[in-house]
Amino acid sequence: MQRTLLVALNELRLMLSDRSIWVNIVIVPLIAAFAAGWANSTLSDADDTSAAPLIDVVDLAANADSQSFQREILAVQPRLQLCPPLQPEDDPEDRCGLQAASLDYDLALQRLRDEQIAAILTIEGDFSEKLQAGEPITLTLQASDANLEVDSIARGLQSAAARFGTLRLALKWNERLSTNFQLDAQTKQQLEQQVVARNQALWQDPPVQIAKSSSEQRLNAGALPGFSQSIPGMGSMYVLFCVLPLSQSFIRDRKQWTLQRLSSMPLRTSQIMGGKLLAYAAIGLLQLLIVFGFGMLLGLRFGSDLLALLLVVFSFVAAITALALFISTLVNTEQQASSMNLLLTLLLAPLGGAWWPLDIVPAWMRTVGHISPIAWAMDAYKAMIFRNAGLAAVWLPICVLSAMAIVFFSIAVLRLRRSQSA
Amino acid sequence: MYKIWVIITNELVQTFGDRNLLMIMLVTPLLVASMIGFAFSDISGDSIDIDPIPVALVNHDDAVDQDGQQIAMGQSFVNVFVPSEELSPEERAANEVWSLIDAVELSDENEARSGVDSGRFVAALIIPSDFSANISQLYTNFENQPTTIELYANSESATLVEIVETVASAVATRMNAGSIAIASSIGSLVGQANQNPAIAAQLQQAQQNGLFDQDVAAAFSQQDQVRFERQNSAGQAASFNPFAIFGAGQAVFFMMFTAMNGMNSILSERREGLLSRQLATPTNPGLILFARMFSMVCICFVQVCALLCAMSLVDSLFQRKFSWLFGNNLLLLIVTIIAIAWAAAGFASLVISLAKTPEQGNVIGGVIAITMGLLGGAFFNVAALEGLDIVRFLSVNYWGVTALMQISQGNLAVQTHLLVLGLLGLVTFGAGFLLFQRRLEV
Repeated sequence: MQRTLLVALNELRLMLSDRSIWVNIVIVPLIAAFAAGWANSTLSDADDTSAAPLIDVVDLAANADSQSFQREILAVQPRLQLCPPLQPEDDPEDRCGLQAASLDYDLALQRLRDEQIAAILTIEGDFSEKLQAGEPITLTLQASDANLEVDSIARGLQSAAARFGTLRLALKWNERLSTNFQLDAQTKQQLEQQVVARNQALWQDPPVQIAKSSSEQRLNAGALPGFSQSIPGMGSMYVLFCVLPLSQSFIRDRKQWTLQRLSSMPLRTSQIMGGKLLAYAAIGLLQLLIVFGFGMLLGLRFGSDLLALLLVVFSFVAAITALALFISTLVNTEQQASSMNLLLTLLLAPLGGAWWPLDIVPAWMRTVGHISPIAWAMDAYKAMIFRNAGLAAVWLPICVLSAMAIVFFSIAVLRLRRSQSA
Repeated sequence: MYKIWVIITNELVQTFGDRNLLMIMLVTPLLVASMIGFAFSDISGDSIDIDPIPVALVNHDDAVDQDGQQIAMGQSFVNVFVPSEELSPEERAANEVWSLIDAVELSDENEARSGVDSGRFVAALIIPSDFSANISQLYTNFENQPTTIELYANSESATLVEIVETVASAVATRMNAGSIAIASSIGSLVGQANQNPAIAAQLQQAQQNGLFDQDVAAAFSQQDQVRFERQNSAGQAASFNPFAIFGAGQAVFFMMFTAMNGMNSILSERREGLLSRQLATPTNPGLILFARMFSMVCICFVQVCALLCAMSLVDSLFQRKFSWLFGNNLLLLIVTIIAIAWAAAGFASLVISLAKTPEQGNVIGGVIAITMGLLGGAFFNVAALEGLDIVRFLSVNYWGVTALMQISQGNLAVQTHLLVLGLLGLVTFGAGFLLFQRRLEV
């Protein structure tokens, strides 16, 4: 055992003396985890930190009704910047950047194609006529297919349409009742103003509201929501990046006769290989320690059961180390091993939910995804992060990961023995 | 000229004869892009086709009696989510809410909350006991007493919770629209009646004659008169094709790695003495760099073309009909891919002129390729992020992917993209050329 540890320490010393490894296990994973977490947090909480989208409004009706509709849009989505603004004070920083140019469809389309704006909203010339006649009105919202933000813009516009519809309905009734009651023009006008004011006031604080409460906020106070996905996800993926090269190292040692030379020393092959396995497993653990530590600095908490967390981490790293050993028995050259490692990492990471949560993918993909050790590790991490799960709740992922480690290791050892005897 | 030709052909033969390299260049990005495509394949345009989301509903609402009529707004809310057992599966599938949300009504609030905590439910909607009483205040006394439905959720499934919140908010908006329409019109009339006895008398008469009954019914059944049609920048119906969007993104992302790794081989050759031997022939170092860059443009071009074709093939198989994802103007597409490859090779030239060893080149090249991918939107939309929306303009990925996306949507105005890519390639190659020559002289 002592000799195995000596081999492991020597291997670790060699690996860590290469400065480029620090870029690979510290800088790149932390940038990736932070960028992905920050982007997800910002995009899911668009009200706070993301840039307010600009919408060019091609108002072919250009009358009181179309402007009233635009005001309703701004009331529902105040962070939208409609261009041109209804009032100059609606765009104090001149974000629209239209200067004195009048906006027509061609200019708006050019601005959309140049990515100066997020979308074009076209209000047709017969807007008021259809509104009065009670006919359905279809407005066009034009945006790039690649702009995923337009979904939330469209939802906001539909809410504005609902509010606008309410006002129109109330005014229509008001008109009918005023006629029925034969009210004079002044009273009628007063009534109309009251309807508009009351409608706006009621929408400010609507009678039915939805308030979100979360059990998880108590556990992860302070951490941006995106980090609860990106920290365990990127941490797990980069374990693959730094542990799978073990297969290249084995092949390199064989090709350069290092393994054969070491065999002449008073060391058993199993001790040499065990030392290397331990060293790479230690690098994997160090990788998780760095990324998870960074996550904890950002406010993320992995539940309160430290033993459960350690068992998940150890079983995951063991599974990946055994996988690396298994790969080294399948390939013949370093280049083959390198290609296989990259392929497996970039396949197992998204499949296992390291890039996005598995509950948003189709059911079949979720099932297939669990061939990846990352999926089991992510199940356990998320249970601990979001539900403060302990050992009783994460025993299944630990068992599956341990089983994977045993299976990969056993097959690899069998194949190695067979190749040695051949 | 002959020397350039020999260097280029050697490089191409070596690259395309190496099966491992081809696997990294073609198979890996194809698998990644396909995976992203399949992951988001259930989302298209403005519709989402996912497994119904398990949600618990707890209705504490006490119905109120108004003029002999029972008002049970809580039950109305529940009915939107929980289908009647008498309905057929087809009728359930046709309903937008029921196809999205698999709701169960529970009587025990604690069971619903613990169901969310344990992951059995994505969310629980809890309706308070004074729900109907508060809402009815609005159209009986015209007083607004806002009432809140609690959406108890766990962020573990943030996207699914967002869908539940959107649906619940839409139902709440519909309820609000009816109540507010009544309260603002009739409420204003009552306000006038308080000041004018003649109007008060007419109002009382109208109420007795049931003049408002029709309006009250209409208020809660009205449909939005204004609707929106989504179109893309070419004026066609919007369609979110993940294979086109992520395919282009991943093709350019992996091409950056190919360019960086390919050019990095010059540093390996220098270490192994091959470069010195080439220079002794004698050959100008700038010529060697140019020839390598040219061969890299060819390799990157082939890689991107192959990936775009493969993504179209994957999409065709998925859709079960042939579909070419990247527009009809093949010539412009080819010119755009050449411009992207040129810019990528330019950046790679600069990287190898800055690095002293192949290892350094690997690290710097990898970091640049990943950073450009992140900034260029290979994984998320940077445009929506304040601060990063400017930096993305420095990324080859941004100009390349947006140009490919525009062409795929039939928008051929990509001159700016081509110009920027051309300039990026020229400037970075120029800087790399000067630095490389200086380094060799040293």
